[in-house]
Amino acid sequence: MTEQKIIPSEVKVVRLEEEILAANDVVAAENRELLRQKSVYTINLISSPGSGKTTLLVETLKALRGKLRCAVIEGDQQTSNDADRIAQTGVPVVQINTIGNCHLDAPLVQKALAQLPLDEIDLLFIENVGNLVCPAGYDLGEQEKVVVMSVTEGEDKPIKYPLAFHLATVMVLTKVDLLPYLKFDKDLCIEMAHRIHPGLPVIETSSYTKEGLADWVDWLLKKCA
Amino acid sequence: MQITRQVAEQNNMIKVTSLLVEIGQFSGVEPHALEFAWEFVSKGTVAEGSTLEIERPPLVLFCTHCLIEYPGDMEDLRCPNCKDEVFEIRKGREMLVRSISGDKKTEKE
Ligand SMILES: Nc1nc2c(ncn2[C@@H]2O[C@H](COP(=O)(O)OP(=O)(O)O)[C@@H](O)[C@H]2O)c(=O)[nH]1
Ligand SMILES: [Mg+2]
Ligand SMILES: [Zn+2]
Repeated sequence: MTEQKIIPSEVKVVRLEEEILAANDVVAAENRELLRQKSVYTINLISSPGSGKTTLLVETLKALRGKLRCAVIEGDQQTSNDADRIAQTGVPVVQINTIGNCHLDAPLVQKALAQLPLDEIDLLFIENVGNLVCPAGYDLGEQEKVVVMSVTEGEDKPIKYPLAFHLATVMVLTKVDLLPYLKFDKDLCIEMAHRIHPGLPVIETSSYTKEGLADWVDWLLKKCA
Repeated sequence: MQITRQVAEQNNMIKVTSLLVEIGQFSGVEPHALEFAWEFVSKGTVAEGSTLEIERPPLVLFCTHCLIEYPGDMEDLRCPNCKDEVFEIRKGREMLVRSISGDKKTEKE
């Protein structure tokens, strides 16, 4: 008599060496190619929550009116508040709610791109979920990562979250109108950013007084030229 | 998770028991956060209850000016020799699944 037996504990080890983000990177490459074909310059804004990204975007979009055709993808865990603020400027905007996730990924952005009139866009801003850790690791298909940091956050953000500062091509230091009221050592902050990313350009802005906005807008215009 | 499920299927695994992953020091991922997230996403799958073994390769940089490799200081990436602006990341950004172990379904007479 033969008996069918299941031997449960045959252990199998599979060697892989597989990139965890490979699936994301494939889609990011597709996004990048699509954006290239449509001549859309894309910027991924990374920062802590509350650093002033949405406010900066609203001012930026106003300043770029008539100069560049812009659009925005808004990433937030919940709500469409930020997208509503952007929509008031008249610029096309797509809201992505990541619910549990602390970052945008390339497939989410791919879906959002399908909802935008890419033929009529020169410059696309992606406002990532407020968080300096995970968003840095995920390529979305953008041309540039921009790190946004406000003067209320403490000088040492660059060395606490080095990857975001290392990968960014420019750092926007926001809310400089508050400097007189704070013990914020701006030079130390910039020096720390340069330990992580030597030569990183820093643009100091205030969305309230409009200080530095022209420099930021010039930087964008040069990128899109 | 996607990778794990695929591998489990392709290899007839009935249960994934452990994973060996490599998460570079400069990958932006915190091992604790990953362990926590893994417990959450593996629930109800073939990998429920599996252990994550995390290797953490340190950051290694290379100065293109002095042509030396040097260990990366996470708070100051510049070359200790020349403080030059141009350096390359040689190691530390890895995010890999190195291997997956599990119990294989086997039928025997
Ligand atoms: N003082 C000052 N406050 C600002 C500035 N920009 C934004 N804020 C305030 O900072 C808070 C968060 O701004 P928000 O744009 O929503 O930040 P986000 O989370 O990065 O999008 C709001 O209360 C803004 O009014 C600025 O330039 N100066
Ligand atoms: Mg916002
Ligand atoms: Zn050197």
